[in-house]
Amino acid sequence: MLNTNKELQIKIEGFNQKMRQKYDGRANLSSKELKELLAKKIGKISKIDRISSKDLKEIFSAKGSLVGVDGSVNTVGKVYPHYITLMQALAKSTDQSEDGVLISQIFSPLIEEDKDRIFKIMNVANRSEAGEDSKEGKIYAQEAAGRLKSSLLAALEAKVAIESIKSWNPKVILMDGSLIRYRMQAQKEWEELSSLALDKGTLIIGVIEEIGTHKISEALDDDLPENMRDMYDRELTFGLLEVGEMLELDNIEEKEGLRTAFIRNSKDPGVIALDLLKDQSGSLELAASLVHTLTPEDGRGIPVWLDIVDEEVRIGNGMMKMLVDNHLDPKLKYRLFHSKRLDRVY
Amino acid sequence: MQVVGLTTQQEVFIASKEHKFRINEILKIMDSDLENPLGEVVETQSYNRYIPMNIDKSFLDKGVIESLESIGYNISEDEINIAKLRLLEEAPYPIRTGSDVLSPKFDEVKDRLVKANPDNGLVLGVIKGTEEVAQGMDDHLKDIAPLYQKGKLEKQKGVPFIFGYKDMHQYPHLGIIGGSGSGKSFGMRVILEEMMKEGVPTIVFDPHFEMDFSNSFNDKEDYCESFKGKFEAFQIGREVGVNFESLSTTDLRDLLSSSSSLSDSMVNAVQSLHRKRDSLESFKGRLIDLQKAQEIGRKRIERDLNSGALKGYNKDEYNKYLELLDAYSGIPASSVSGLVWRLARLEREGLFSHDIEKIEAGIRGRKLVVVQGPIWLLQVFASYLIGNLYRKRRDYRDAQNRQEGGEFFPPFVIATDEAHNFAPKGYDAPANRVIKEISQEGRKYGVFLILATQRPTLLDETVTAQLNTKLVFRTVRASDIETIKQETDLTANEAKRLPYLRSGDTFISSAIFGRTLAVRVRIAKTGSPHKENPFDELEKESKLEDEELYKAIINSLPINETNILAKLDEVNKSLRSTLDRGELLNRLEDLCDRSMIKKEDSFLGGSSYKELD
Repeated sequence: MLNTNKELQIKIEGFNQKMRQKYDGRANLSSKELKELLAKKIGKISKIDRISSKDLKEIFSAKGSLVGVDGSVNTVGKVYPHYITLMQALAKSTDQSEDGVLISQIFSPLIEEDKDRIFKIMNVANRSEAGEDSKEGKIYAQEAAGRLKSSLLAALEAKVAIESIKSWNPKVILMDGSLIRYRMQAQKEWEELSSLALDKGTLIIGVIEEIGTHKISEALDDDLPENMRDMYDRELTFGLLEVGEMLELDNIEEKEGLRTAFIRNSKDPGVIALDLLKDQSGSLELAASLVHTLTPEDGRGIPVWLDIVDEEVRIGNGMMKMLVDNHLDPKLKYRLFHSKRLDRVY
Repeated sequence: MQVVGLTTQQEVFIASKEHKFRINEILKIMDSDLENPLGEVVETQSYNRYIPMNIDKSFLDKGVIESLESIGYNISEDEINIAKLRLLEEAPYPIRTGSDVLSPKFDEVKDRLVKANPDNGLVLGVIKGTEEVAQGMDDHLKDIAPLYQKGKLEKQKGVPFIFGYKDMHQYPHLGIIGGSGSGKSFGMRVILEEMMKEGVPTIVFDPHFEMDFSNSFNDKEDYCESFKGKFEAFQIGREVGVNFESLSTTDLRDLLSSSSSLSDSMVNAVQSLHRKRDSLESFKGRLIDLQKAQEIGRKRIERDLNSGALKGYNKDEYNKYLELLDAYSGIPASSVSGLVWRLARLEREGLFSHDIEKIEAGIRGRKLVVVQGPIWLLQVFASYLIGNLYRKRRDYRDAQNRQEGGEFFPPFVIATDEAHNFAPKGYDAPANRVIKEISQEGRKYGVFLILATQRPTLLDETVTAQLNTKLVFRTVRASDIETIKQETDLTANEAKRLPYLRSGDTFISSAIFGRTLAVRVRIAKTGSPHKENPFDELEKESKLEDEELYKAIINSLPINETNILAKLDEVNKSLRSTLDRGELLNRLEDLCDRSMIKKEDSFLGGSSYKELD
């Protein structure tokens, strides 16, 4: 520590000062006032109860009726187009005798088909954005590849969810992340999934760990003090809700076809969000209770079933390295993916 | 089951979701390049990745686990069993990771586990972890070694451990190591039972008076056997002893030193006083005469002789004293009297009134002969006895080798507990020399040792090194574990388990098997005579006494202050002992405490003892 650059220290301290000014005490609005404001303008704040084991048994009387869906992605190589991405998605049922639906995929700009798709995306995007006459709007191949990659993963996840409904007809599917992501990135699969879910009566819940929106401040706008107007939702709600409290986002411009609520699920002061299909919004309370029930009190607020699915689907660095080392010619590996950074002496 | 992770030529890790690994279990690795090698489980672990041992991160609380269970997911079923497997034989190159692992068939492991037939081997117990393999076992190996588990007889489930005692010709001598309560004596008993079954002539030195084979063990009716007629127990000084005339000076010195150690001048005295073929009387006479002569003193003897006052017998006697004084002038009087009392003590023990003929007869009759006595006496007697018998056997064999006939003397086995007293390291004990000699040369003549000790560290190293088979029971002392590690092929892992072995569990490290086997010793057919707990005995005895008293007084009740003297007479008549007034009152109080009678305040003052309602 003795050798840290003095200047860096000063810069960090300066940043700290600014942030304190911005966030301390949320300016002149108390938690109580903010809560009242939210209840009035945004939506209902209510208390969610845990579901008793007996009721749970009743709700999930059929076998394997809770499914968790998650995907994982890992990449070897750093710089476009010299990388391979492996991705897989898993739908895992709580029925231990079932194996789970697992679909995996490989993606690399080095593969002809993938390259074609990247260029297609790039062309489409640039053509439409070019119309707005902005040079910055132009996207490059690596960005297009990135978009393609995420949309492939979203599609995979939607696919395993579809398969899981077909094979088990579950009561509830917990999906890791916002449902809007599927709609945006894998439209075709999402439409199939949502209509199938509505058809079969499967409740789909998207569990969002990191809330990245600023809808509340947008909606309240003038009702908020000056320095809070551009705050993100996670900043505004941090420590605001009690454990087990839910804020429904009613009077906010809806994500299309979805309904969202914020919940504080555990002792962790940060909140998480739930997405439901609008057509299933009648089950919001059940969804919230279920998510709350499956979340450890001392945890970070995510239902444990998603953590278990995540653990199982994860393509860890060790696994990735083993796969590449064992199944890729060393010569090719070195030629295509080796990074000089790895050979640094210090 | 599957091989996982990094493998070596000696060890691999295997994992399975369903199969729970047992320690010492034998498994087959399906690596065809290495001809499907066998391995033994040496370490087991179980892991559940959803219930990690992590203090910093959130831990699944009970509520969530219960909720998951209600939905139908039991988190504890996601357990993964992991075992470290050590190959029985080192492979030329590492095992292929990912190879399947199976439980082998009995035929595939038979040669490694069964080295002798139950008919001509010692059935000592069951090899642990072989339950699955034993499914396809030949019938003659089944139901021969039931176990004693949690106070009950349990049918044999695994492969029996059979020690081919005839292989001792090639790999001689057996060691039994273990702390007290580890099942060492019990293991010794089982070995001796099997020796009797095979009719192997055996001498057992028994300092604890426990090697009696006439009581069957508890009530295990279908597995008890009487060994009456197959063994004989002799006590030193009662049935067997030392023939004084056959003693060498060294033997005699050792004998005398056994009761209390000898000073240098005493040793010197024995050496000069003892003559070959001395009888007890001649030696003792010489010793006592010398003592008397020294008491009277040379001056007085010479004066009396010169004065002419002595006549006839007395004069001869005084002349003899003088001769003795001349002959043994260098021996101080204190040494002589020291020897006199030591000799008297041995004589009082009856040591010299008997000989070893009965033992010899037992050995010739292919019996097990138990020699009992206090450890101090046993040590010297053992030296004398073993020396004698070993010489006989050696002479016979040597004569045979020289093509000369001679009287047959059978090969035999010597077994003893507390072996570190007989052949200690670092100092000389009477039997040390002969045991050492047998350990090195006995194989040639067909004389073998079974040595049990709780302190292998204290046992003579030459002897320890010659024990080709060692049974290691629970051992706690670090220095002993260190010795065991040096003297056996026990791995560090196995040595780590030593302090935690159950009573009756043992590692058998044998040159015959070429590797260490974990074995549970079978149930003994006979029981030790001291199996009753002394404290239970105390309870039982005092209960008997109470009942006797109760019977004696019951008809005389009530007893109170006024009639007690009259009643005392009545009571004493029906008792074996005689009580006085105070004693009777005390005993009546005791009976009240035990609620056998009751006490009421008497209107005459004092108390009145009455029968219970």
